[in-house]
Amino acid sequence: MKMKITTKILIYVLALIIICFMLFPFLWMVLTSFKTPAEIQRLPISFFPDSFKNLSNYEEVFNRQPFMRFIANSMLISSFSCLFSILITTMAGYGFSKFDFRFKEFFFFLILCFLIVPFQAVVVPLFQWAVKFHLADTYTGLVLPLLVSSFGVFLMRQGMDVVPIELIEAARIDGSSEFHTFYKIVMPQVKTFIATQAIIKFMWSWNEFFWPLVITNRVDMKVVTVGLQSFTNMYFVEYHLITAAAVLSVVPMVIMFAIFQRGIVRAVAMSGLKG
Amino acid sequence: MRKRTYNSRKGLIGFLFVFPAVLYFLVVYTYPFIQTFLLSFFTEHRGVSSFVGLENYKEVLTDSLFWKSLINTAYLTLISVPITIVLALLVAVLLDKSPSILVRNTLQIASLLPMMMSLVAASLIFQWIFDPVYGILNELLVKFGMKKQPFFSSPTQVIPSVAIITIWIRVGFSATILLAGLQSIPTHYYEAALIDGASPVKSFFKITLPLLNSQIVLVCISEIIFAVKAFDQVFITTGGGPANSSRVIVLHLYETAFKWFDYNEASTIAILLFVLLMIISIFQWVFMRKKVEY
Repeated sequence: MKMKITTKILIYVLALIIICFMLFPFLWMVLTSFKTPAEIQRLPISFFPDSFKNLSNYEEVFNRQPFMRFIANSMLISSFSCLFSILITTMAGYGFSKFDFRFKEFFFFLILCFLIVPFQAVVVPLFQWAVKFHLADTYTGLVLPLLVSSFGVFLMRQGMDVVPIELIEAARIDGSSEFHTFYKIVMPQVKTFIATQAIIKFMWSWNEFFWPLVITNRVDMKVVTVGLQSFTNMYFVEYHLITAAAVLSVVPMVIMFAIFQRGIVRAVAMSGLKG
Repeated sequence: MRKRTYNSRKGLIGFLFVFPAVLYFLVVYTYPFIQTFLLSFFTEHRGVSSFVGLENYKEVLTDSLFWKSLINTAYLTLISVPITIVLALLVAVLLDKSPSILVRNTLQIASLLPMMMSLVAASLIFQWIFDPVYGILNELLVKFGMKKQPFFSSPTQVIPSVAIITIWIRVGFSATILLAGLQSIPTHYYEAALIDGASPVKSFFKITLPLLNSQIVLVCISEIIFAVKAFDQVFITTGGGPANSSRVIVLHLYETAFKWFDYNEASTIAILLFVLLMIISIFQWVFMRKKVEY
């Protein structure tokens, strides 16, 4: 089908406008992070920083707050919850999809409920427990509600439905133990689903703010999102530092995006299954 | 007889596979949820809690601050959701139709990149762009002969400003889902429409939109839920101000629980929020069942 030249131009112009809208905040963040406090208060605004070699804002971020520690905390929490969630939800998906037992659908429904129940509806008792069992300001406390996602269970059940039962039966006849069958035969079959969940779970955990805000108080236990917020507590908002800190918080995710771009597109499209 | 023992053994194995997940959800989610529900019927005074029936609900539902937060939440949802959907639809169509692969790929990356950023970081950046004095947006407005705007520090502009953050973060997500839907529409429908002399605009409204129905409903509901649960954007930029004009429901809940330490009232608000989200989800379920067939 041939396209008229005017249609083509229209598509390019619209695409360009949207691309600018989407990328501008990133660009402005990076540019501002190289500006000195004097520069950001200069009117009229100079678009580019005077010098891209000015890294003083980044140094200041690290001096002011243990920002590397924040990043390390976020990495730890996100990786752990990601791995844990994959293991537990893959097992659950397998059990729900390929076995029959009493109350199966009830259990599944029980887990699916939490697609709708907002986290805020469990946060008060969770917080009270955390205080009671001294889990505030600990990694255990931080990671506890992020460990298994109900969406993950749902997604893995969908994934397991595609695995042919004959494959599992054949493995059983060959005398493979149940766990061995699951680990060696079934898991490789749902690789794309596992990758999808890994990406989504990591992104969600990295960007999580509400729970870490509630549960952490000590500086060395803060995650990146809460650490970022701590730059706003001052009387005067220091955007040269905030933008530098924001750049640092985004870099790991952008690297991940660059590596897994295709997987991320697929992951988002698949998360549309949630219907 | 032998078959049955085998089945119960198999059932047990299946149960063992789901057991960790079930246990986790029972302990970390179901139990606290029930506790929240119970908390909403009690009140605490000097460490002694007593049953008060629906008293907390009465109190919350007559609290003007609660209604203010609810109205602000509704306002935010009403602005951000339609714009997100229309923009996402536009992006999806552009991705589908773009004759150049370079433009297509750039648009896809650009629309998904915001998803990589936390709402916290995005809010801080937008607050800087929208700064009343040194913000680049105001500089642009002045260049085009308009007045500087206060944005986040104005009671009337704060919710639309928060909505822009929400839209920016969400467009890529919705566009990707809609694109998957667009690509599943068989091309022969369009060819038939072309032969019948239908204009592209007409075939968009008569073929594309109806066949995209389930994806659009899905995206609408996801976006509504996301907007109703908005917290980070507001907490970071304004903390609910100025004069509570951006206080949203989750922020109200957060402050009730962790600033005023009224756990019972916070639990009541949480249950009401849950009911609201449940109603929205039931809507989704009803609409999703309406399948369009040609």
